[in-house]
Amino acid sequence: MNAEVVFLRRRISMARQTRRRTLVVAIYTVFALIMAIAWATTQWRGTGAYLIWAAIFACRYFLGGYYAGGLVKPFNNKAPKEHQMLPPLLALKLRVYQPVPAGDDGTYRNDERELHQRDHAHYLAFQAVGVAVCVPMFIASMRLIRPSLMSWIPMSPDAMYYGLTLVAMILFPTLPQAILLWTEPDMEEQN
Amino acid sequence: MIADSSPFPWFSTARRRTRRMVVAAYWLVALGTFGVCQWAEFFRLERHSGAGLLFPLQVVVFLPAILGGVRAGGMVKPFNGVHWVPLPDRDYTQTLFGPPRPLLGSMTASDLELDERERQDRNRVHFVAYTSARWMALVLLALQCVAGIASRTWMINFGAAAFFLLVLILWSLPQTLILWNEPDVEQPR
Repeated sequence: MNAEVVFLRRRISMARQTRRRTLVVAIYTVFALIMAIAWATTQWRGTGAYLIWAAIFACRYFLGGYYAGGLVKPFNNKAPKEHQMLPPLLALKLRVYQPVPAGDDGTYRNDERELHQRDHAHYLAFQAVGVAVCVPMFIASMRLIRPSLMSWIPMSPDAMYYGLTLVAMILFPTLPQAILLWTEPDMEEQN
Repeated sequence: MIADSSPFPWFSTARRRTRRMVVAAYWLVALGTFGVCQWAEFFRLERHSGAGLLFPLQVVVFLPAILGGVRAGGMVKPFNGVHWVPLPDRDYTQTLFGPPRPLLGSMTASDLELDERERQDRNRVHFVAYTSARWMALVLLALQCVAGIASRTWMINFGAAAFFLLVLILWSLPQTLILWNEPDVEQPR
């Protein structure tokens, strides 16, 4: 796991667990805000894709894992591809960068302990997503079966299903990294 | 990872070939059920009273129990172990002659907990399943978007079905991978 991110020209140390937890909370707060704004303005019609792009952005520059860059090493144990193209304008404006892979494999290759942590985080994430979809599924089903019981929800059933799918699409690429960042202890203490 | 006691009393699931056939039958039944529900428009409230939705809901809740993992008594040992058994289905009564005999299809002690190797296998399978389910969810969302572009009615009809299918994938995919890949279990002599 990398120990720092660069954002808005500042190098931010993420060695402390509390900082990593703050980052995780901030990322999911931003997701919730985008989702709320998209619902208030367009009822997610045509704007749901922005959430997917936001999740990809968060993974590439902060979380890592499924994408090269970010705090968590790539899950697939492969070296990041070296692009000859210039970085995107958004990355330049926000002063974020992806760390250049060093000559040794330690910057991207997971050791045995990290592989076990990766697998365990995916187990927890899978359980969390599996349980999380139960509650909304029950509510949405009750909404369809007995509309009078769920009349307080200001949302049509099809919009609710679409929203639940969007939430799942945000959780899928981000939750294992969030679990790893949340549970990994302080790096100084570990060393 | 494979439970010692088979949930099917009339055949053993120790052989991988048998397990693969069960898994194939499971997914055929699951997808066939969703196809029938989609054809009968059970997911559309304006066509039915909504009670038709109970059928796919029951399928999603009870069908993964056959594979196990998410609960005890299936072909795969429970992922999280069994910590509380209010009504054990094992025969604890001491018989007059010989040891107590387990009931047919009952759980043995080894089925209740995973050892260290099995925990690692469980976690590794979940990594593969999570990565696969991520792409499947993306495909379902893309199909939902295509249905929404084509017709709003299609989107209403497909939205609930896609979500139910996603839940079924989430509750069945790791067990499917385990049952498909685990080699033959040696029978005790």
